[in-house]
Parts: sequence; C-alpha cells; structure tokens
Amino acid sequence: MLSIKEILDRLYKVKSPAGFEGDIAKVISAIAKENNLEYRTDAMGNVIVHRKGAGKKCLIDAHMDTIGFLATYIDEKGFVRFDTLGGFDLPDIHHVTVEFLNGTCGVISYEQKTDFKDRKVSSMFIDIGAKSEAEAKELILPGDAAVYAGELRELSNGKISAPYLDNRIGVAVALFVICSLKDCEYDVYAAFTVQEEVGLRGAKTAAYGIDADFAIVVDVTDSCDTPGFDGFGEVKMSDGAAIKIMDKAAIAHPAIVSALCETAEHEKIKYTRDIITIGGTDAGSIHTSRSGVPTGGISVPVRYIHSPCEVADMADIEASVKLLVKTLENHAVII
Amino acid sequence: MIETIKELCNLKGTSGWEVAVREYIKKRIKPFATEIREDIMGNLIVFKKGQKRRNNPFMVCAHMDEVGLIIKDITEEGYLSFDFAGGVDRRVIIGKRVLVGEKGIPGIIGMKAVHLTTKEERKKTPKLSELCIDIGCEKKAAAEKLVSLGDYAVFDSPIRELGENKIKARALDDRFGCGVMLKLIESELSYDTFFVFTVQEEVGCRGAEIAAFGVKPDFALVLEATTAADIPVSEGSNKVCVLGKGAVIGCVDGGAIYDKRLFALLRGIAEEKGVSWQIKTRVAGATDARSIHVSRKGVRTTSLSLPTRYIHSPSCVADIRDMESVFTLARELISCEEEKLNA
Repeated sequence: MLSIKEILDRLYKVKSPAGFEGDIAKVISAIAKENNLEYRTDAMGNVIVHRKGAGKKCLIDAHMDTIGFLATYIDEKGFVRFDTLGGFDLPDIHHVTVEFLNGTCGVISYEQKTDFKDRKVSSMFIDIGAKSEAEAKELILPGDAAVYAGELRELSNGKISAPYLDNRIGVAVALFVICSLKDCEYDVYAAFTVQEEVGLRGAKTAAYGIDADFAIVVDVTDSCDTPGFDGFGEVKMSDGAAIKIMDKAAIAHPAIVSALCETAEHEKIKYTRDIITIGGTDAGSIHTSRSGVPTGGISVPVRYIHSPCEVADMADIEASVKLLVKTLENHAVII
Repeated sequence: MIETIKELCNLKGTSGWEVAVREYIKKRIKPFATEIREDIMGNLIVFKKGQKRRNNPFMVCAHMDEVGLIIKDITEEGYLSFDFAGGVDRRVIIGKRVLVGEKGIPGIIGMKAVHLTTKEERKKTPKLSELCIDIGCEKKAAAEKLVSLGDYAVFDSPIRELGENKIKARALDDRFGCGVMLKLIESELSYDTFFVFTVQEEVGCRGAEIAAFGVKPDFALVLEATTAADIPVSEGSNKVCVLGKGAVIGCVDGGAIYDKRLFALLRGIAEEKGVSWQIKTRVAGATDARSIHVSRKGVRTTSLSLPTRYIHSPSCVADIRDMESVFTLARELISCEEEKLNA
C-alpha cells in the first residue's frame, strides 16, 4: 500500500489541465489495479474505482483536472496566444513558467506598455523561444494545453508547496481511502472527475452513472490565515480537516455534516467547518443528480489556491484521510 | 444546399417560437425520414435508417431558433416596447426594420434624428427602455389590433449574395446547421442516425438538454454558426476564426471541451480529403454541446461550425465554401464505422 506522499509523488509526474486528463487517469487506474480494485472510464473521461460492499452506495468524489492554458493562436514571430482553462487571478500568471503536455516549456508575458489594470488574457502570450510561426508549430499547435511548471516541495513544519495541490490532494485522499478501507459495508465508488475547473462538468455524468445513495466530495478550501485575511473565514491551515457546510454551488446535506462532525468528535480528529464564499465544488453537480443525492464534503485548507505555489499542511491531509476512513467504517451514522 | 439555407433563413423562429421552422422541416423530410417525432419542448427528433445499424447511437444536432425580440408593452401612443430573446447588442438594432408577430407587421426601431441629439447622447448607447418599435399606429387600441403582448419580432433583412462566395442573411445562426441536416437526411446514409432540430438554444441550450436525455446518444455532432471577427479592427488571435478558411472543428469554447478523439478524427478526415478547417482562437461562445456532452452518463460530443461575421445582428455574413466544408466533414463523420469513432 502506497503512502499519501507516495501517491502524491506519482500524481505529480503527470499533467492534467481541464479536458486533458488522460495521463492522470492512467496513473489513477494503475494504482487502483495494484490494489485489486475494479475501475472504468466513462464517456467524459471520469475514472470510477469500485470497492464492492453489501450496503448503500457511497460516492467519494475528487476532481483530477487542474486549471491550465490553451494555445489558441501562433503569430508570425512564434509567440503563442492562449486562453485559460478554468479561473485565474491575472497577477498570478505574470512571468511564470508553463509546460505543455508534450514537455515544451514557455514563459508567460504581456504586451509591453499595457497598464497593469488594462491587462487581459488577450494581451498576454507564451514565449516558447521559437523564432517563427513555422518553428513554433514544430513544437506545439493551437489546441494544445499547458500547465504551470513546478514540483512538489517540502517547506518546514510538514508544509508542502506545489501548483495544483487543488486537487492533487483530493485525488490522493480519495484514492488512499478507497484502497485502504477495511471494515466498511458501504458499496464504495470513488469518482476521479474531469473538467471541474470549467464548470463541474465531469461530476455530472459520473454521479448520473453511479446513482449513489450519498456522496462525499474531497477538494481544497481557502486557508484564511495569511496577512490580510483577518476577520474572514473560519478555516485555517493546521486546524485539521474542514467539513463542508456550503460552497457557491451546494449546501451540504445536514445528515452528512453531522456524520462527519460526530465522527471527528468521537475519534478526536481536528476539524473546522468550511463555508466557501467564492467558487463551487463537484458537490454542486452531484447533489442535484437524478432525484437528488445527499452530499457533503471534506476540504483540505490550502493557501494561494490557483497560484503556481499553493501551500498545504500534510497534517491536515492526514486528518482528512482519517476522518473519511472512520466515517465510512462507522457506517451506522450516515443516512 | 444554399437554396435550402436561404429558404430556412426566410422563416421566422425566435427562441420559443420555432413552429414555422419546424413545420417547414417536417414537410421537407417526410419522404426521407424513417421516423419523426416532436418532444414536449418542441424539439424535432428524426431517425433515419442507414445501410447499417449502429450499436452506439449517433445524434446530429442543430438549433431551429434564432435571436430576436419580444413585445412586452404597448404604449398609449401605439409604440411597442420590447426585450430580447437571446443575446443581442443594443448597438446593432437602432434604425433597423422588424417584423412583428406571425403576420409579420412591419415596424422600425427608431430614435431621435441626429439633428436633435446632443454630442453626449451620441456617445452613449441608449438603454432598451429608451427604444421602441414604431408600427405606425397612433393609439394603443389600433396597435392592439395588430400586435399582442408576448408576440415575437425578427429583423426584416433580405437575403443577399455578396461579392465573392459570401451570403448575408438574418438567421444563419443556426438555419445553416438545419440546412446541412436537411441535406444529410435527404441523402443515402451508411449508418442509422438521429437528427435533432432543437429549440431554445439561444436562451441557454435548453431544448438540447431534454433532446439528448430522450435520444440517449453515445456520440453527438453539433452543427452551428460561430462568431468570426475577421474585420479590420481585429488582428491575429482576436479574429477568432476567419471566413473562407473552412469549417471550425470544436476544440474548447465557453460551454464545452470537445471530445479529443473525435477532434483528432475530424482533423484527420479533413487533411485526408483536402477539406479546409480551423479552430477558434478564443475560448468564447457556446453551442448545444454544453447541454449534450454532460447528458446522462456523458456523450462524446464534437462540433462543426460555420465562421459567421456580425452574428446575432440583422445581417450575418458567411462564406458558401465554408458551408460546403462543414457539410463534407459532417457527412464523412457520420459515415465512420464504430471502430473509428471508438479508436
């Protein structure tokens, strides 16, 4: 059995911008196979791993896509115009290094003399070092996708930093949990979904296909503990797992919220209550699937979400794993 | 095909009011379709048997509706105030002729003449509440004899062929797609195919949502008109797509990330057959694919679009050669054997 860190290391070997999740799907499928779990891929590209059980159907969801960049046009000098896959804060992408799926590297910059406040994605470009359109097109074509370049690094106090902790962390947690569950009667499905970052799209078809009795979404949430955050949210790094109360796309089902909170109290797992005021999660697509699915979530606090250097605490990840495992193994408490 | 598209563009069919388009299509396809049905929202669902069966159903789709206006009040002086059905830029409607209601009552979207406006007024686009349709009536009662609240209006804009290979018409978005589907239905098909003429795309891809749920396809092809900005103010990637450069194969837009394998397949077919193609250079707009690709357990969806200038205005302009490119690629795609689609 791989550790969480080992799973993360394998996930960080591949890129998965929204719509281009093929490579990470292979890594997840391989890990499922090594653990003798059944898995399939649906028409959208979601990977669905199954751990059979006699009880009710539980869906654990973690999106496997990340935000990214899409090359849309290459000019005569070889500069690449792009658009974004998912939501960005423009300041985050000034002069960062990006890497296309085929390994081609580039740097994002902007048209000189544009005022910062007037800058838009359409006035920015990727410099891949090519001298001409023809030379650039040897390397990449319009329609190719890129992601932030960057590796998983360890900071002090058990903190880690990398791009795309959103949602490599969720994937690692969900995968680790479904592989390591022991005394669990639920019929557990883990859906590793595509295209969350562009509108919770993959979760819609995954939830329809699985037709679960309840669902728990594993994703990240803003850690409100850095300078300037005073007086904002409850969730802070190193305070444990964050139990979803609501986000912009869903209000968590009370039964799931209490099952998670009671488990955390009972097992003495550190937790906070998570209210996301910007952005939704896959819970939005899942809870209104078919005739409705009671849905909740566990979020891991992350600083600087959607930047090239997100930060998380391994201890919060471990707490989230424990909370999910204990909640599912103590099956009497849900629904 | 071009004559069919012209006839379709002449029909009035604002979102929610597609009946004239639907009836025309029904009449045309009757001798060729295996089965025709209409669902509860008014989508026209056509099945046509091909030489061979498909195990994984294939659905081709285009929307019947167009953007337009809806009458929401009649003033004491007999003017009509209105709102839009679908996205229309207020700046393109001033001074334009419209046809109101089923009878096509002629009207003008008027405003004060240049002599009477101030410099400041001319800098701003008037709000919808400052605009009205003048149908020439002097009293509310007289107007009410011609127009009812809730009536739709379309732009009165004759179809013209322009310069080299260009055509100008009001409802190219998406009677063009309907025209391509009509020609496909009228031809011999290699495989069984569903053709769906949808309603209410322009107000949020609503018809396609229930059509896809009902048809349960495994594959879908959306035929659309898409925005081209190859006009003097735009350079490079801001042109989005260019007239005469061929069919736009769906890659990523605001509504969907199109199926990668079908994208590669279409690109391969285009290269092999020498059909010109392009992708959009901006992630903008959306098609019925938005609803279709996430239907049920997911539908592998692609699109072929016609680059169209001044889309959602009274005068859309497109290139007849691009129409042929879309038709050829659509025909080739629905003739592909299942192994190729699943490759």
